[in-house]
Formats: sequence, C-alpha cells, structure tokens
Amino acid sequence: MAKAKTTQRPLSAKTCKQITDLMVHYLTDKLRPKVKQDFQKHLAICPDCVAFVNTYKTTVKATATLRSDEIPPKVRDNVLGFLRAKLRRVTALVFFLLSQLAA
Amino acid sequence: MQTVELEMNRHQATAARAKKARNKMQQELDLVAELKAGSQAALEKAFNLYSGKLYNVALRILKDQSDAEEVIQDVFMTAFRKADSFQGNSQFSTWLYRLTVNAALGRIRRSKKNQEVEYAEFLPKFQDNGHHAARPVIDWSDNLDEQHSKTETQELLAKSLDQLKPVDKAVIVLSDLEGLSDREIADATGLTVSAVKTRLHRARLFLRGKLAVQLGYSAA
Ligand SMILES: [Zn+2]
Repeated sequence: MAKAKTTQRPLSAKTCKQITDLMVHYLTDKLRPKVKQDFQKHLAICPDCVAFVNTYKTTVKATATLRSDEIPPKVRDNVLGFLRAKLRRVTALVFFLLSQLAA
Repeated sequence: MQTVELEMNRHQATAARAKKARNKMQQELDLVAELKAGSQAALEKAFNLYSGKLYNVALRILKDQSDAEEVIQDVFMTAFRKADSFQGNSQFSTWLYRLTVNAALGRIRRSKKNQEVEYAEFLPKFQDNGHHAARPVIDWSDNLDEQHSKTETQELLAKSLDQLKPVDKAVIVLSDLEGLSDREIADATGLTVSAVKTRLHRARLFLRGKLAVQLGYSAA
C-alpha cells in the first residue's frame, strides 16, 4: 500500500487498486474533498469496487461485534486478590521501616 | 421551523457530548492524581473501570486466559507503581492500553508460540493496469447474515484474527473492537500513524478475504 501522503494526492488515473488503498481514509471520512469526489466517481462506474467497498465495510462491522467488556468473575477475584495482597505487603514494609526509623 | 428545532437539538446533543467528554477527562485526571498519591482505593476504582476492556484486549492478542490474567495483573501493578511516569500527554486509558499491548506482545515474543499464516492468499489481487484481477468482485455483504449465524461469523473472525501477526492483531483490536483513533493506536503501540493505517488496512483485507473464502467466493 502506498503511504498516506501519496494516496491523498488527487488521483490522475483512478484504478481499483488506488480505490482499495484509500479505504481506511474513506471509512473515517478523512479523504480530502477532491479525492473523495474521485473516489465516488470511480464507484459510480465500477461495480467491482462497489462490491469491494461493501464487503470491506461488512467485515469491519462484523469484527466490531467481537468486542467485549466482560471479565470472568474468577479472573477478577484473582487479580484483585493479588493486587490487595501486594499492596498490603508494601504498606506493612513502609510501617516497618518507619518504626525502625523511630526506634 | 422544524429545521430550526432539529438544528437546535443537534447543538444541544453536541454540547451534551462535549460536556460528557470533559467530565470523563476530569474524572480520569482526578483518578490519576489519587493514584500518584498512592491510594489503594484509586487502584481499585481504575481496576473496576478498565479491567474488562484491558482483559479482553490481552485475551484477543494472547488467546490464553491465564496469560491474559497475568498481563492484567502486571498492568495494574505498573499503573500503581509508575503512576508518576504518566505524563498526561495522552489519555490515561490510552496509557493503560499501551501497558497492556506492550505486556501482551512481549509475552508472545518471549514464548515464540504465535502461529502466523501468509496473508497473500487472502488479499485482493490487481492486474498491472490496477483493475481487480478476479472479476466480477462478488458483493457477499448481504449473504453473510443469511449463510451464517452471528456466532459462526464471530468464531471464524476470531480464528482468523488469531492468525494475524501480533502487532497487526493489536492494531485491529484497538481500532475495530475498541474504537481508538489511529493517533491513539499510534500512542499505544509506538507505531507511526501511517504505519497504523497500513497495518490496519492489511489486517482488514485479510479478514475480508477469510470471510469471502468461507462463503465460497474468491478472496480477491
Ligand atoms: Zn474499481
């Protein structure tokens, strides 16, 4: 894939490959107006790229459904238990050192 | 009249969103300040807020529950011990993503057990003149839901995602699952923004190719 800088230049010859390379910018609506116009002009005459854009979008949408915020309760308890024990040890050490200093 | 009302509603919605974002940022700043002061309550609060997201990011990259658990453990311990090193140049959550991705990728590098496949077979191909090599390109976007249940599609995608190179996996998880911007992903992974875009695009093309082949079409 060409670098973002070069793909953002107005396309002189609009090939399917160039259209494909612009997909990331197209999906986030980051194409410059002229490039976006060229992109849409190409789609108007190229059913292959329309199909490509649709399937690319579908893939991104389907991938997003893999997202999860769930943490298994056991993992949650394990990690919280570990963190608390670690911090208790640190606090105990600090108190010990302070008591040594005071003595 | 209706247009004016719509316009006003949109302004109100934008203002409400901006306010919510400001509140969230302030909450993050307060939390970081408490962490820097060594508050255990703040660590637990951070854990409750972010552990779900971070655990799943680690799990997607590592594919192993106990590895992901250890990563999360390290991340929150580091966040507590090194809260002072958080500069505030990025969001606190982005910093946590960075700790998570670094820990997960480090683990893969050390274990060397990552299974990668060649991408080429599943990427689109073009003729010398820049046209698609295999024509017509089939639009299977409507067939996906018809031919596969949501769970089947997810299983296939999860398996394909696992075949990506570890860094590409991290990029696509942060982008398409977690919704981070390219800039934030660059901050979290240490890649340049342009490298993030390149990797993201290639990973998406690979996943698209995998879905296409599964449905009985050409990946090209
Ligand atoms: Zn085309």
